Amino acid sequence: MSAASIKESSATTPASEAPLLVVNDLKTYFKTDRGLVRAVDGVSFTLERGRTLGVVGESGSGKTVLSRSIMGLLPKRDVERSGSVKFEGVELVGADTSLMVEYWGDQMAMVFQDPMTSLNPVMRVGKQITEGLRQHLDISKDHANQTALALLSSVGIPEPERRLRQYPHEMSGGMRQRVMIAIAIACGPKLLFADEPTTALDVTVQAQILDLLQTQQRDRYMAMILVTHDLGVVAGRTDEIAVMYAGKVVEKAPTKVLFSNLRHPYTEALLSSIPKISDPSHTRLKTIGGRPPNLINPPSGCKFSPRCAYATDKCRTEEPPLSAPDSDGHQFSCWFPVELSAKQTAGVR
Amino acid sequence: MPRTFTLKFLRLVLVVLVVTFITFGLTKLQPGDPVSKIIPFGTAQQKAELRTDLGLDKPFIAQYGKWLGNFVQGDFGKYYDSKQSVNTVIKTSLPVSLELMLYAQFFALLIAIPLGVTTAYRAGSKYDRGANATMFALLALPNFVVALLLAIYVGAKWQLLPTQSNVIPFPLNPLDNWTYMLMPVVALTLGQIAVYMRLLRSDMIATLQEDFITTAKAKGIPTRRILWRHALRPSSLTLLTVAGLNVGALIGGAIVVENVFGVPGLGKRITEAILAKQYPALQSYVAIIAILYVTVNFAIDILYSVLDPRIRNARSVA
Ligand SMILES: Nc1ncnc2c1ncn2[C@@H]1O[C@H](COP(=O)(O)OP(=O)(O)OP(=O)(O)O)[C@@H](O)[C@H]1O
Ligand code: SF4
Ligand SMILES: [Mg+2]
Repeated sequence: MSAASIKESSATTPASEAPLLVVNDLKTYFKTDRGLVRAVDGVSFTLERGRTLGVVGESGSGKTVLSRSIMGLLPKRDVERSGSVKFEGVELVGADTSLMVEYWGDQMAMVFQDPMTSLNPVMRVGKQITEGLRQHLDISKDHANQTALALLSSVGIPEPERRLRQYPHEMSGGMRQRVMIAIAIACGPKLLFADEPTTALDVTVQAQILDLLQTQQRDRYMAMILVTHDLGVVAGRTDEIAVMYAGKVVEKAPTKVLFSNLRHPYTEALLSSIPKISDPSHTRLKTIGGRPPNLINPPSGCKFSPRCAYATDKCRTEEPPLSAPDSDGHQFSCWFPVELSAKQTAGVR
Repeated sequence: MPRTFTLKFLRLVLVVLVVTFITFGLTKLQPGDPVSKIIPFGTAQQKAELRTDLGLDKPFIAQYGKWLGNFVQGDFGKYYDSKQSVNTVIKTSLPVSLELMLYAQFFALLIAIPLGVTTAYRAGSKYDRGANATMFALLALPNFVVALLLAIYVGAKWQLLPTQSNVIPFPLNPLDNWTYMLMPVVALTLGQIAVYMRLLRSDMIATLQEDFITTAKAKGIPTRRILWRHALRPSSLTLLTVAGLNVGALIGGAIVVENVFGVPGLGKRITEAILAKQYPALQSYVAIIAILYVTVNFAIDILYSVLDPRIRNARSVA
């Protein structure tokens, strides 16, 4: 919390009028031996400070690449990145690493999927927190240590003094993810990415970590992009949800609207694959039939058509555009959107 | 820790015993005998007397036992003919060899580490490919060839540096010492650079793919610091192991290089002792080298746990 207050007081320039994050037609392709992988293929959205966006999709739909592409954390070579990412009005696509270093950790930060591999195994936890602090904020070693201590307590780590001197391998997965969160929020970033922050963790600690992220996001008035393959995770924790399929956003709506009025057959399929508490135990997990699309030679027309129960010839030849937002801010790309009646038979809670 | 230490020490003793015993056996298998080297024109009776004098008529085990008994008491034996004490020879020649090997190891690492780090970061670039090709060429070049080339061109033809360093008293004034040491050190260093650089490069490339490197990047840590503070340490365990094991190659190289340049180090003395069949002296030299080798690798074992806290933990549990 002290880090955030330093940040606030040192920010002398008035907050600009531009929205915090404007992503426009962002594309990220990888050149591989087998061909061009269109991992992110024209994604647009706007995110304001204090708001949370959930990005949902199956494995391989491009969620991780999207967040890394926005942040500029992509491999150096064989990547084509186009479109626009504006952070407080500043264009980040094409920006030099020397500029990005000023944003990374300071303005935007990321909590990664696997806390077991995301911390440096040979560096003390305290050092890993203070390092970023001292990089961005002009503070003394002592001050940085005090801040790290405060950060560890604020992410719910008991005995923070002792923990600071430990190495990552001396901590549990949940503890490490708390440390990762402490590192991410250390400099008071305005935008926080959380890329499947609980997938690698025990079920029992998953909710705790998600709650922690939510409290931190609110307390620090950050914008957050929560990436997950589980619609259940984002249900109560996000303002808006973007559903991704084959590198594109296929449906986007405020969270409540999406759950009460979903329109895309893929969203429907995702939702019905969440196990329900009311299911008898040992019910087989439903998965979406068919394989995720090939990103090198995607199917023509609607990319979901090979797996879609409602697909027609039109779907297989013409790609549906993402509709303009309706009065609820609901957008989707489908020729034959799911109707209310069809949805109820699908068994939405 | 004390227990593992005792164990390590016992292992050191065992290694030294085995190595010296085998050397002793090998010297006995050599054709010819020291007595004919010392008094080639002596009569059969003179030779027999000398043999008794030197204890060469005793059984193999007894001879070995006697040498060992003296060695552990710090008496490294005498040369047969001159009666010169091996201790004094070691006192003057060991530091020279150590200096040579330390310099070689130091400069090899000093050059190889930055090369390994930067080529790994820029893997696949022109710079990387150029550096790799050069290293490959160096690897193919045995140190005696380098030594001879240096001696012929830099030493004899262009007369830039002295080729015969017989005269180095140790320690000489630093500048003179350097003019004598430079070529032997270069000859010994080149091949090692290649070995170390290629090792570090491949480990660094693997480390740079790790998630925690992305974490560091996402924190806004500058590239230089990521390379040197985050990636180098976890990438250096293999390098360290090989640097330790390589002391063996270094000793072998030192023997060659010392002979080419006439550096009065232990390597040169060993060659002389072999040719003159100075068994006790040879035995003691070999034993000292074995102790050196095992001690270095023992020290490296300890360094591991300094470099990687996970090893430290595993040990304290065990
Ligand atoms: N460096 C790369 N080179 C080539 N292809 C890549 C690279 N990184 C990602 N991809 C491809 O991009 C696609 C999207 O991957 P991404 O990791 O974004 O999926 P995801 O939605 O995050 O899935 P998951 O839930 O498994 O994390 C995948 O097909 C993946 O193989
Ligand atoms: S466009 Fe056709 S194939 Fe695509 S999701 Fe809609 S109904 Fe299914
Ligand atoms: Mg992912």
